[in-house]
Amino acid sequence: MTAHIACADLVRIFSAEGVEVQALQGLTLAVERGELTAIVGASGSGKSTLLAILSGLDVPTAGSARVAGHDLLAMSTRERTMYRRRTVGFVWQQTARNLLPYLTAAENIAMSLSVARSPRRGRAARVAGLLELLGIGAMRDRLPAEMSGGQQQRVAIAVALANEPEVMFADEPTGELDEGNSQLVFDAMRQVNEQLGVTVLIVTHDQEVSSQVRRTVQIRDGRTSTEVLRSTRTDEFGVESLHAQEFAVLDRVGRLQLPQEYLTRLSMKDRVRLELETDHVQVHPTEPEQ
Amino acid sequence: MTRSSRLGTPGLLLRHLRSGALGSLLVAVLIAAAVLAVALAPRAIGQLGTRELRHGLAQESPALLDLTGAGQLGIVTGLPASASLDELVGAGEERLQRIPEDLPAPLSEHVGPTQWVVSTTRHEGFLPHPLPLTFALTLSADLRWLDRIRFVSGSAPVSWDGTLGAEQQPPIPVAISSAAADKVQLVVGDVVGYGLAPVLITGIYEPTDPDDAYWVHESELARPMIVREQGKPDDVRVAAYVDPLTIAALSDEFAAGELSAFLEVDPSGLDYADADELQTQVRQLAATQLSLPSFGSLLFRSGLGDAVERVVQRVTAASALLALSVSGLLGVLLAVFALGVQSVIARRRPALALAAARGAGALQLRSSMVLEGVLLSIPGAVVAIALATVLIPGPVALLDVLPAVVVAAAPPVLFGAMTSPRRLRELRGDLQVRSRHRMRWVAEVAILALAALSLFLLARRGLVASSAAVGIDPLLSTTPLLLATAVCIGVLRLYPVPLLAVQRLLRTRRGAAGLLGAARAIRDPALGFAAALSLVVGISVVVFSTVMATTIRTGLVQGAQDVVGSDIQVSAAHLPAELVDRIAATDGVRGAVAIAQEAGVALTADGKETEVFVVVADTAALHDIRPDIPALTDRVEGAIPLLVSSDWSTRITDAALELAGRDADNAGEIATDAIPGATRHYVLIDRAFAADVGVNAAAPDRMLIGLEPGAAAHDVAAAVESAVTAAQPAQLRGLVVVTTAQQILDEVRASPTVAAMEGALLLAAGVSLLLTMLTVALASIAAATARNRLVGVLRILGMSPRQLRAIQAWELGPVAITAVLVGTGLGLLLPLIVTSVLDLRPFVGGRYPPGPSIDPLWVGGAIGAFVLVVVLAGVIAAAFGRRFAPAGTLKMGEG
Repeated sequence: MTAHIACADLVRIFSAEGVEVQALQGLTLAVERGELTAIVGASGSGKSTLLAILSGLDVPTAGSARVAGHDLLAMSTRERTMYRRRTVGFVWQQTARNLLPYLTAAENIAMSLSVARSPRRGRAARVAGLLELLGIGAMRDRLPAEMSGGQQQRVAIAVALANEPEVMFADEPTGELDEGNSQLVFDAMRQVNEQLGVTVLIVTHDQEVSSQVRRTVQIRDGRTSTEVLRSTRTDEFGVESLHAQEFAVLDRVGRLQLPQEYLTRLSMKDRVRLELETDHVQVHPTEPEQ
Repeated sequence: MTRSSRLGTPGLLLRHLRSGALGSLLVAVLIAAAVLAVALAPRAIGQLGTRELRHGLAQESPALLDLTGAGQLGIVTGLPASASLDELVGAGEERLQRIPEDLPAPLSEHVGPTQWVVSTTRHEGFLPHPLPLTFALTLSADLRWLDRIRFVSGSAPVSWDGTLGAEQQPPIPVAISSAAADKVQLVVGDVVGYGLAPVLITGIYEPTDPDDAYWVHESELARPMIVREQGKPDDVRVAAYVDPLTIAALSDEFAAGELSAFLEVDPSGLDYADADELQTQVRQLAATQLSLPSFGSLLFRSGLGDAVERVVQRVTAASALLALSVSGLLGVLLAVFALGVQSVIARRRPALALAAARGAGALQLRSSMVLEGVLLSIPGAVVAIALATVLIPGPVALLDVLPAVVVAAAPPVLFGAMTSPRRLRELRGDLQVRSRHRMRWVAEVAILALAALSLFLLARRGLVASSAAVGIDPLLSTTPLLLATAVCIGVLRLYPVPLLAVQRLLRTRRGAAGLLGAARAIRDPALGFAAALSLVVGISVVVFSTVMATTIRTGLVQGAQDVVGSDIQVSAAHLPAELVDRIAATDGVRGAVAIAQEAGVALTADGKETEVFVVVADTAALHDIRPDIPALTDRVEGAIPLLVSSDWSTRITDAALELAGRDADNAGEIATDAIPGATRHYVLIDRAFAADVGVNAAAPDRMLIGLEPGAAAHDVAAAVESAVTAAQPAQLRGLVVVTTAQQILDEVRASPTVAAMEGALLLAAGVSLLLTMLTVALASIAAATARNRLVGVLRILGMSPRQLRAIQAWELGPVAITAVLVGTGLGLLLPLIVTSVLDLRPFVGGRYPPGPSIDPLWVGGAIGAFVLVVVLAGVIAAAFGRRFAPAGTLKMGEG
């Protein structure tokens, strides 16, 4: 089975007068259908660029990217429009980018339905269902300015889900929220993922969020560097414990990024010594030259 | 809070369009104002033309305007003496009366019925008493004569029943005008000897309506015509009415005599739109001889065509000038218009970007913007166009409405065109690819090329008064705008250079405000191209209007003085030197010069002798009141200095000149019409040399009077007139004519085009100031968000309110200062271009095309007003900007 979101060797170069900025330098990522994945990385690591490409708002310079069977590099304008309407939904960090300030919660959802030309008849039920699902039924006729930040982001999730997308992207959805509200919004996303089976990709630098996600992908310098997979295990005494395993991503030509933390701790620099064992590879810092 | 949510697409769209309704309303008003201006302009020019046509033609005499025909009346001969009038001339009368209806429209709509008089040839008359004059008589017949006159003595003559050539003839009964009777001292019952048969005065009459144009055309029937020649007795010519039936007995005489017919033209109903057609029709009428029954014929002529053409020239010059002043204004209006449109698009951008991200297609995005454009533009435009037709009534021509429709259609089209999903893509400020630059270069080079081309074409076309048709000459009217845009492009390109120098200078100083202000002005100008353009064009329109107003005022005064020759011109038969001296000494008179002229003086150039007119004047005194004419008082190496009229000067080489056998020196050229009343070919000499060349300087017939500054021309003219009249012999008193330049000026000023022109320039300056204010306010308010954020940051960094105000001043200051400098230069340059490509003479009169006339006081005042307006707008906008910016504009971490 092919991955629901599949990126391989994605490159995106922004060039301005004389300056070239390589925001993505051969990023590879695969997300299975129904997965809830977090992408973390420092500011400037390229995560927002990745999301812009995945949402069809930007086009990569090279590489391949497929989302739910759509080839993002080969889409026509019409196909791209349909992709945004039906296949994906977005939640951004700033409420202003998610919701129109002069429309109520219900109207913001209806706007999304109207853009996708869904019939007028079913709209009221769909709007009510979504608001109910996200636990903000009381907000139906309120303007964004009359809601809390968390409520606004949940309305934004409802808007993103209006046209029953297969994938939902969220760019720092909790970036402007306090801890309590962050948790509410994150719970809402997890609920959407579990109940509706929507594949969810969250870009965040919030450790709280990433620690609650089964899979966290770290981006560094425009590449996926490491992955953490978390799982709960129940031991023989019936006590649940959380296990996290860290993986590094190996690209097609065998390049590998070691976590910065490892490098500093072992003072690895410039050159390392490799030893091939029967079932693994050892990486040693080189001895300081005598 | 309860609010009902709308879930249907139309409801959502309505909510969307209603957001920011106040801003949209402002833009809608702006669009409506632009449409109104564009809809009014052609109507105003059309109406101006019509008013000028009616005014201009009303000034002309009926003798010039009316369709006047001369020819022979066909008279049926060989009829018995008892023949009726109808049998005699009925067919001719019927044909003549059909003329008006046979004329083509629109000419036919403005003429009255045919009026005609048939006359015998003129024969000498012998008065019953001796008088020192010669007397000639014409017999005239008019079918409607009895309606036109009333008898003051005697009664209407009856028809003559004599026979020409018979031995014994009864006298022909006639009636003469009381003016003629007075002149030749005839009373009822007198018999005048006459070639055909004796003539009996049976009645003396006066016109019932002396103002009737009939008496202008048939003036000899109203009063005698007196021909005066020096050394000869007065030659008095009189026409006398006979009973029309007399035509039967004198049929050969009347058939051989003259038929004079005229159709009165009423200019009060003329329409400017018909001007061209009228000219053609009048010329066609004049080119075709009209056949009348019984071998009669009639040929019309009329000065109407020429008079209309003069008006057309005047209106064309005025409308070209209007177009020029309005074109600059249109530039400012377009800039404001662009700012308005931009502001709407900018306000809709986030919503459109959001919709696009949610999957709205280009069609959906565009149609929502087009719909908004239609809603903003069309209702206001319909009202504006309707208002234009109400304000200036008249027929609505499709071509006139077209520009207004284009302006009204622009916002929806622009809204649609400027909305595309690609443009809405989120731009990364730090990495923004400046790909627009190539397009900007292309556009800028194109505008520069167009400006250069239009200047070149104008220069090549030379000084003309545009085409005959009224309307806006596109080349001329776009030149100032193109030039302004080109200059503005140059300014925006060069503008950072001095600012960088300022910035370098400020870097070494203490105080951050100047440095920051300069850096912002260079890197992130608050006022964009549209605002800068509107500032530059705005001030240039203000300066241009001021200079043009002064130029026109000076041109009008100069034109009037050129016509008169000085401030006052006196024409009289007798102007003795003593009188001239006395007038020169009158209060308010700077100088008075008598001008005499004599024909037939021999001028030898290169051995070839020709006869010229010699104009004699006291050239020293003439130079005093006419500085353009040099004094010719000193002989040049023994030769008499003279000026040659420009029409004649080409025939005179530098070779040795002799005037009446005396050596003469060609001191230069004088414009042919510089001396009023002079013929085309003349030489001017000082009166000191008059006797040398055998010219009698003692018989001047003209006098030029120059006034002291501030003297009341009217009062002086009245005093001069009475003094000159008193000095004339009794019979020549009626010949004194005093003309003042002020009189001519007042007449010219009464013309609608001159009034409109002066008004339009004032209006252009005023509206330009207003629009500039609006631009500055709009641009400044648009920049408020960025400014408030900066101000928030700077306040936290500890800047004092004074420093913050300085930073705000830097926003507007450099652009405004540059605009004032460049715009003033442009405003001074444009009149130079205008006066060198557009001949304003049909409009202001005068000998030479007027050049720009700059009054520093007015120009300074205009610039002052402009600066005041800009500062005021900036202050108001800054105050508003603060109001719109709540304390929460600056949230840490935002932006």
